Amino acid sequence: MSSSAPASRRNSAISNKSTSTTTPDKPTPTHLDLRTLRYVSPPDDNLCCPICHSPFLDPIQTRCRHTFCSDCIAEALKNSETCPIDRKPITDEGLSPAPILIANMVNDLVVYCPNAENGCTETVPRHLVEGHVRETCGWVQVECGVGGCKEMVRRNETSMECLHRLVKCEFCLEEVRRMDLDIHYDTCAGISTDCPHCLTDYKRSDWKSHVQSCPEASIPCSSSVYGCPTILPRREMARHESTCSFVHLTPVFRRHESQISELALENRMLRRRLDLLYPRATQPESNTNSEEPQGPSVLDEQTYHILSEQEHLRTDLDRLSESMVALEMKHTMHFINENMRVKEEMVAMRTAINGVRMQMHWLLNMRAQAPFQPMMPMMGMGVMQQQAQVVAQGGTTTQGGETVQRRHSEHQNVKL
Amino acid sequence: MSFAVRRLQKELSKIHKDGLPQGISLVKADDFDEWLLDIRVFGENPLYKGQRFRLKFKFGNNYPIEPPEVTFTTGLERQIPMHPHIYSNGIICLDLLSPSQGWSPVQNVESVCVSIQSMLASNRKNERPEGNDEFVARNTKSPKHINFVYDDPTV
Ligand SMILES: [Zn+2]
Ligand SMILES: [Zn+2]
Ligand SMILES: [Zn+2]
Ligand SMILES: [Zn+2]
Ligand SMILES: [Zn+2]
Ligand SMILES: [Zn+2]
Ligand SMILES: [Zn+2]
Repeated sequence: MSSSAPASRRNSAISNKSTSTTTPDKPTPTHLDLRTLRYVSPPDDNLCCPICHSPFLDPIQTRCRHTFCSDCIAEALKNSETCPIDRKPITDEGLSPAPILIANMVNDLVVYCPNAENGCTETVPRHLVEGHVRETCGWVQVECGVGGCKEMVRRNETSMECLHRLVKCEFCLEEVRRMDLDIHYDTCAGISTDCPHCLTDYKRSDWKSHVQSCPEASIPCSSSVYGCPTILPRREMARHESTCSFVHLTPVFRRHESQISELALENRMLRRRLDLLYPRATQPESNTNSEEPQGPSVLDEQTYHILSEQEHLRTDLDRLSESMVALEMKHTMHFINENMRVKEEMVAMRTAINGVRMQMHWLLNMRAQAPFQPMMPMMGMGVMQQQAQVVAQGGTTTQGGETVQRRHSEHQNVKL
Repeated sequence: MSFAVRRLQKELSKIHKDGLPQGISLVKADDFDEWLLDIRVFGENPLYKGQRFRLKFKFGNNYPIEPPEVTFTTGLERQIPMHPHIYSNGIICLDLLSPSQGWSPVQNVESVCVSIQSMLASNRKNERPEGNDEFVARNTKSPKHINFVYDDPTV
């Protein structure tokens, strides 16, 4: 098993490859799409096609002196036979290759190898990238080729020896691929290893299960979780466990454990109900299930202090908000009462004004008619009518003489 | 990876790098099928003052050779703007978006937004297109395939 031999051969693989013409360069089936290339530095906007926004590929100039990729302008013309920029009519005959200067500038833009994500770190001018991928890139999948082998392998992993042919394992006589041999040895049933504990020979395929049960292997006491520090070879463990007090107490520990977890569960449920009743700011209570009867730590005390303080503040707040509500109610009632009173007063005043206005009208009418009509009967009737009306409306009774003055002052009152 | 996706990736990275013009913001561009952008109209135009409108761009595989499908959509506090060339279902009658007439592959998401923004900013009529109700009730076609008559030189 010369495990170093393939490695050294692999190093010389690339130089071998270039000299050995026994494997004719079969063209890699992957056609390289230059549109997917990534540029090392962001390309100048002036070198980018206005249609695809990438550096020109095979740049073409229109008769109106606009430049596009040949594929882009061909696609665009299928849709509309005008220049995409200035909408001047163009046909295929109006297209010519762009100046060689532009073509050279875009061809010299440096790009990453398309296999960069697989590991190739090469950067090359764009016009050389196809050659790089076809000839030299180590991360291109090529046929193994040795002895007509059709398996694909990375170019920098090709070697004189085909790693795909089946070889017989010299220990178990099973057939495995050459490249899988090292992995096979780890589990080969034909190789035996010494158990480090009992020093007996075991086949590799059985070794793992043996270690699980080797009587010489050291294992911890089954009650180590409850504190027994003993570690002994497996064959002696049974004797230890028959006398180990931790093992004897294990049922008790178990019972306590289950009780504690039940209590923790109950506690959690109660807390949830409490939270529903008194919603409070959620405080991170991470150790709800470690409620074992041990003295509260300093942190716990602080937490409780803060919690009780918070509770005080909450009750204070509740009280305050209650009295606020009461106060607001009182204010509202007061306001409504006041408002009602003002409204009533306003209604009364309006009525009074109306009464006064009517009286005044009547007086004015009367004065206007006075020279032609006999005065007394009209006047008497009018006053009677007006008085009846005013009394019915709950206003103040006013007599003709003072009406004009009163009207004025009452008008002012209303305005207030 | 399709031509459209590569082009949209380029547009997106440019937007992330250089930002968008004032009043235009990218809302959602999780994929290369559909983007959402919000636009606002600046100035004193009382029709749109203080409002935001949401544009939905749908890209086909042939973008940018063919135009995207651009419509207004409603949403939280987003209405369809009042405009004599915008139907109440969000369809925009703009020659720039027509594959046979105004579209050119040198247009992009940003330039379309700017055009629509200025189309709103210059409008003074608080009205829908003629025959809006009938069109909205009967139209099931995608907006790209409707043959609008672009007769209004003011837009
Ligand atoms: Zn042109
Ligand atoms: Zn192009
Ligand atoms: Zn490479
Ligand atoms: Zn091989
Ligand atoms: Zn073997
Ligand atoms: Zn052993
Ligand atoms: Zn023990």
